[in-house]
Amino acid sequence: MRRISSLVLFLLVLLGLARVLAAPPRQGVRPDSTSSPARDDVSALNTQDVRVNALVQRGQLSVRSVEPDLILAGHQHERFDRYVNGVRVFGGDITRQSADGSTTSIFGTFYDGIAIGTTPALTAEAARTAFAQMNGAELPADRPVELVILPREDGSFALAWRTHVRTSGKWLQTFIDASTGVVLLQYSDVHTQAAVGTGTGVLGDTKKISTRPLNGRFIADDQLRPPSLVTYDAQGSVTRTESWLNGTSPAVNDTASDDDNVWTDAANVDAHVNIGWTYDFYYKVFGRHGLNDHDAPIRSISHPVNRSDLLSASSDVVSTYYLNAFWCDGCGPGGQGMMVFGEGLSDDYVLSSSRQHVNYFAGALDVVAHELTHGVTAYTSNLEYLNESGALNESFSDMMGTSAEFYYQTPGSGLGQADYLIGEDVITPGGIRSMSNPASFGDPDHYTQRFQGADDNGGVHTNSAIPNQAFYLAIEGGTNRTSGLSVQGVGGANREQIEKVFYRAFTQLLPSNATFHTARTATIQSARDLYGAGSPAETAVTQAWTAVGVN
Amino acid sequence: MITPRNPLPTLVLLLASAAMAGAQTAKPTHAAPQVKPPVNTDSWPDLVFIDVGGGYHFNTIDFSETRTDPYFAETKSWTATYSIKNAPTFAVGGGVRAWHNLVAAVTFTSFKDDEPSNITGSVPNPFFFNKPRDFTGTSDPLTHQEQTVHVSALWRARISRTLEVGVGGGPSFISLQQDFVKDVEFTEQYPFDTATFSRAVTEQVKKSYVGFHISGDVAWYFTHSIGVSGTVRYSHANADITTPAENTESMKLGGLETTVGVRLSFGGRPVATAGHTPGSPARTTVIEHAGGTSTEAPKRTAVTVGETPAFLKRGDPSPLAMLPAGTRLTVLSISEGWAMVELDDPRLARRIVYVEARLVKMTDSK
Repeated sequence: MRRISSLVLFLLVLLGLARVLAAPPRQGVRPDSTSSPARDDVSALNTQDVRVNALVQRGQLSVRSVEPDLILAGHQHERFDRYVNGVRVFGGDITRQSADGSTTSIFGTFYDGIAIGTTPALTAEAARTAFAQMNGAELPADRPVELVILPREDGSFALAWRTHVRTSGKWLQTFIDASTGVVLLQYSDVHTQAAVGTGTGVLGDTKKISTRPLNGRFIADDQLRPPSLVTYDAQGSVTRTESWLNGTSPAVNDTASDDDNVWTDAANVDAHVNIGWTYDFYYKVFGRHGLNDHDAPIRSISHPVNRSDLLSASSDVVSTYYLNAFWCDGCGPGGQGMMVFGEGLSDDYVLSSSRQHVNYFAGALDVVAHELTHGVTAYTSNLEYLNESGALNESFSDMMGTSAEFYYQTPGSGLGQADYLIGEDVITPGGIRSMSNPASFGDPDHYTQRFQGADDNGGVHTNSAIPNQAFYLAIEGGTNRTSGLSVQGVGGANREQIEKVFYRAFTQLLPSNATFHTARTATIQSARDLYGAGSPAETAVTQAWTAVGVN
Repeated sequence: MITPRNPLPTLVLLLASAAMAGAQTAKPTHAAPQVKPPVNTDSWPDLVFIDVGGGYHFNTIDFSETRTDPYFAETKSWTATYSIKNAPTFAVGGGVRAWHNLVAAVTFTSFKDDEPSNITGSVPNPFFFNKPRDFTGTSDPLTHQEQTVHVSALWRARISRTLEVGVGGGPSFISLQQDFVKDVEFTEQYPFDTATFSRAVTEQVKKSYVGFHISGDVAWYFTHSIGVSGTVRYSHANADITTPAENTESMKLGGLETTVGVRLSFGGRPVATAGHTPGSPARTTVIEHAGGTSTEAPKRTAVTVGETPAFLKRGDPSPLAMLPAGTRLTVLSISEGWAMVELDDPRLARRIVYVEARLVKMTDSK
């Protein structure tokens, strides 16, 4: 039996002091930055520091790397590997942190009492042959077969040969006994398995959907993109939807799923796929990693209600879960926000005001990108959802929704084509807003015509049309119908310049209470930053804001 | 009678050939006394030969195979292109004269070429249809080795004292070792815009095939038993191979190869049978091809079987003298149908002359 003297030590950054806690092997302890370091902890740290130095001197710890801390000046990180008679102890590595030459923490497990022979009966070549048999082919020459001392679960040690083998399509870290060749330990180094299925979207188009196999089914849990990207299916239950929005974690079984990975639920397909595409759009155009730029989870809900329940639903439920899609900031597990895509109406119903049909909201890429952009805004400028800042919030979502359309779709006026209409693929015909001609939906295209009432949080969905028009004019150019002022746009081929100008301004420059004037100033500054003073982009942006009456 | 001059360790072949040669030359006869028409053995090759040489194998084989598998709701594929090039070859063989100029021979040849395979691949995009990502790569060198046993029937003749030529053919048994690409590994990561070749997993296939060959050879001897040989051989076999990637590929094995090497030959050729006296023990008249200087050959006695012209030099237009039948001679050597003999004639004094070998009969028992 081995005697484990294991101390897991951790860094207390505050004051550069260390707190040392004894802990079982392999168990980490989270730093407690609020606690004062105890004197005996510091003493224990010193003891372990001396021990590390002694092991290094005896050749039982070998320095693997010494690297400066890239964040904290004067700090340094050392990493050691543990050896016994020249054989590495697997998992026996130790890290030591120091500040200005003084040790601040040590992490790792000291394995003591390793009393096994380190001469393998099985030669390296024999081990390689054994691994090759598991691998189904010769191991490539550059795949090392390493002799290690393997700490076992029962506290013993084993001399083992280690390498990776591929078997049955899996990539397995494999240890075999260095005497007998018996497999001691084998586990997959590859994380959760991904699957790609196909699905039919709301518009009847077939697309790929990134899923995860689970218990013989496939769930809408994207394993190929960096963040957790999960689409939940409330199966028409408002209660369930609102429970999740209120912070209850959905169960795995609540994830949208399909039996054979050939998905037929159009709302689920498009919610999941369009979110993925939107994530990709942000990544590829702006280099952004999701909502918070650090790949925060992206969760959405489809089928919040049943279409068949329309007549029994309250007006609030109809307006919220049938005729709407929204980003719910602070909702969901951990308060990290959730998107909900409205159910729309069956073909038997049309909107009384516009005679439009309303399909599943997830079926429109610009709608999905619009809602996800609200999440981006929430993590960046956090524009207050009121008056002009609220209108800017809405407008930025329209801009990015439209930009996503142009990134993936062919410009045109039909379903599934890129245009400056919002929601036109699911609210038919025509959508709900126009960036090129806001007046066609009764929205203002000039600052002088802005809505100044209190409804809709000060007209956030109405006055958004003014910066929308500026965005459109900066790209396409043209004349504002109210002011008659013309804009020299950068052209559709250069639309990415304007997209980046507005993205930079809205995510990095604007404060939460920004006004239209602030947005004008910030976007002009952004254009200068990105493309230089006097650049076509700056000229276009300046002229566009002027054309819509924002000076 | 066989008198190996150069007892190299070719015992098995010698034993085998001895039987055939004996059958050929020691057949007893009880026919009436007459002088048989002489058998011209001048062009017969030695009884046994061994060739060792090296050269070049000329056969380029180009083929490719493609593997497709479902991936990301579409199909991923890779194509490995194989190119087998001309390569050095090694040959060793030997044989025995089976009958007159007919030789049975076995030759082992081996050549090996290691060429990497050029690989192209296409991997579907996980998020979109019809947006494949292409990659290229190169495998480690892939071995193509053909080890062939050629079993030949050769017509071979010495067309002069130093020059020997042969042609022949027969079946070829080809053992093929061919490395194939079994699978291609690539790396990819988000955003999955590209896929990068990682490595080719290879596996060797070993299989044997039967084909044929034809060959021609020439040898120039600078001693009686040692010469330089050159061989041109064309062999062919069709190989249908099920590859590790589960394709069936057809290859044409063999090809043209030329080798140059050393030929060792042993076992004399027979000289003419000039008939013998009835009732006398059957006796061979085979005399070892002396090849070298006369002093190397054992002296033997013979008599002329009829009136025999004696020449000072082989091929002289007119004889020095006509020797009557029964003239006793000491044979110093026999070469190319001529016997160099020592004549002790009172008229001509003791001297060396040349007579046609077919006109003398050995009288010693050797």
